[in-house]
Amino acid sequence: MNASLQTTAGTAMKLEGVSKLYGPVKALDNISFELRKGEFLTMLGPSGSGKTTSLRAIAGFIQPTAGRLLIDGRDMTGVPPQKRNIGMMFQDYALFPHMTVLENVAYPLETRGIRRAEREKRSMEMLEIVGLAHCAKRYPKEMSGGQQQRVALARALVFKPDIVLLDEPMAALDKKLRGQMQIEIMHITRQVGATVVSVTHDQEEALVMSDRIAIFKDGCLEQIGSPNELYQQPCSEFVADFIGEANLLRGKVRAMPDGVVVEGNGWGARLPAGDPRAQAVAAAQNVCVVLRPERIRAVEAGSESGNAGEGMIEDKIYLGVEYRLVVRMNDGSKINIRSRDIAGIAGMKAGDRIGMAWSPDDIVIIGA
Amino acid sequence: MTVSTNDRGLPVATAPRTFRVPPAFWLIAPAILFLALFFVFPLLKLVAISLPGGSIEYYEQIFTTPVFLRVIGETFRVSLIVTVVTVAVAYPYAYAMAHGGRAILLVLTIALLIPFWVSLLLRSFSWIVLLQNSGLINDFLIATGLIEKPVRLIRTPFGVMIGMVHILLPYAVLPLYTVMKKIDLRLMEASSICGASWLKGFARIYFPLSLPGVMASAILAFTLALGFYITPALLGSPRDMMIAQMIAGQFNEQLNFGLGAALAVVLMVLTAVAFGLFGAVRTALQLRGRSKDGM
Repeated sequence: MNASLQTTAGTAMKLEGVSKLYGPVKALDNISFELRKGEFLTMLGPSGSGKTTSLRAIAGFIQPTAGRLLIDGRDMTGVPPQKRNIGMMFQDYALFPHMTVLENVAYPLETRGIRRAEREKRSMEMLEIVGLAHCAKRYPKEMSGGQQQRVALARALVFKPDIVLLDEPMAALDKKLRGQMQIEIMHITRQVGATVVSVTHDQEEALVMSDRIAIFKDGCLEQIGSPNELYQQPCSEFVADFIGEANLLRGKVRAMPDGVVVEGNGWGARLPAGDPRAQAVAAAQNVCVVLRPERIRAVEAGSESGNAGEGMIEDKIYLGVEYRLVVRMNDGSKINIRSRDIAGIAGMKAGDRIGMAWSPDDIVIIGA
Repeated sequence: MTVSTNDRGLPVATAPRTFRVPPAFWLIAPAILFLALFFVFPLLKLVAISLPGGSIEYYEQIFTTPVFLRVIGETFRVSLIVTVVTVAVAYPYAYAMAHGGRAILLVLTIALLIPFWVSLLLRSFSWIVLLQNSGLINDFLIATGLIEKPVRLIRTPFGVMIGMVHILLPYAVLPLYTVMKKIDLRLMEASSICGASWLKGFARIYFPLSLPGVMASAILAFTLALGFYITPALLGSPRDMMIAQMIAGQFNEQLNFGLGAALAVVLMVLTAVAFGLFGAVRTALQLRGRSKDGM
């Protein structure tokens, strides 16, 4: 047996070096990742980053130029969509306008040659799960956007597919409905134990729904991991900036007897000698320090050193639970701070000098 | 006494409402006048001629003379076959136009419209050149050795039908194209990811959605086919005579204006009936869709 066909138990899908060329343009560049059974994975990235192309390659609508796609251990590269046993919810749902809701949901069962009585029973059960059993006899155009989406979801799940694909699931909904449907889709897919791959450009949606997030940029898979991993340990400035808010500080590395310091104009970040990152950072010259706004403490100017910086308050915004400060540093770069130290900050005002401090555990150093 | 006031509080005379011709009317007045003078009036005149002194003798004659009934029946039979063939040929053509990409759309549209710029008479004559015993098709078949003697193509129902299909094709393609262009091809993607082969998806999704185009196409082709005159006259034998030729014969040769007019009225009424039947079929199809709704 081909050794590379073997995947660890519990792997639903595996992409191996999948590339897609459109003429000289690399829409996908050597994408490899695994999807575990029952997992909710979101492919996140700006438009043109390759996330939708990846989804269409998994569905079988486009054939990769290179690489392989394994589903449940079987090589599915080159297999047409109708033989992949994949469910898909399209961006604007692609419900069949001339069929009732029930007929729409039953269609995947119809194509699988299941008897009418059986398929109607199973479709009704699925409609029950998405809460639309009372709408079975209606036509798609007689339903609201949120209801249409649930019909589309039912149609994608009814035949217990190996994988369910969601293409920009919230794109066609208004903002209010989005939050509600995110939770609902998450609950429904968990309830039926589906393995899901979703595509979005909305980082909040990705954080809410996903077990893991795959971040795409320029046709490459930039990083894949749990939302927490991506937030705590971004591997690049792009990921740090894309997931959550981040201050990116570029500085020079200087070795010290008791550790290593990254310095810029008006700030410094020090790693003690015992820090596991210190050695790698010491070997580099220029690095980028990622500082999350909520990890920075606003202190009196000059009161702290080591892991600290200084600047001038440019804006002070009160947001109820927290203050947001925009601080301009000596080199002109701006730092965002979110602080819940309401009492401490209330007395500060725009134009004041301010000190900033953080713990070495809260910084991520990129480029080492 | 009621005194109405306008929004500035000034009294306004409440004159009794008189009918006013909307200004836009004057824009369409020339067209209406033209139609009234050269279409409605002659049509009424035609009906009057067919009923001399209120007598329905010409209509009795039409419905009791076998040759008239045979020509009417033949006209409907030929038109029906021509309609089916035309729509069947137009369907894939329109599909290619709608979904084949810009280059194909351009080529197919030009190919479709060029014959429009050539007169009907000329197109029918070209078919004589192609179909006659010493014509292009027979010469080619003999040269390739497929046949020894020329096959009789012209002066047959086949010749009439092929000429009619050719002339009706653009009329059938355009309504089909208009409907197909609006069909979202992602529905076919959705169908395939649901597990359907292309053929299954076509039968269950694409074709039902294209049905309005098929109906529009068929109505247009059929009603036009019923009134064909030059093409059957040039490509058919006297046995393939259609009703329009017979009407012309009554006016030009027999000089029996009354009978000619009655035949024309019969054609008109039957066309309207056919039109209504198509409409009824379409409504029935829509109703069948709705009745499942249970609302």
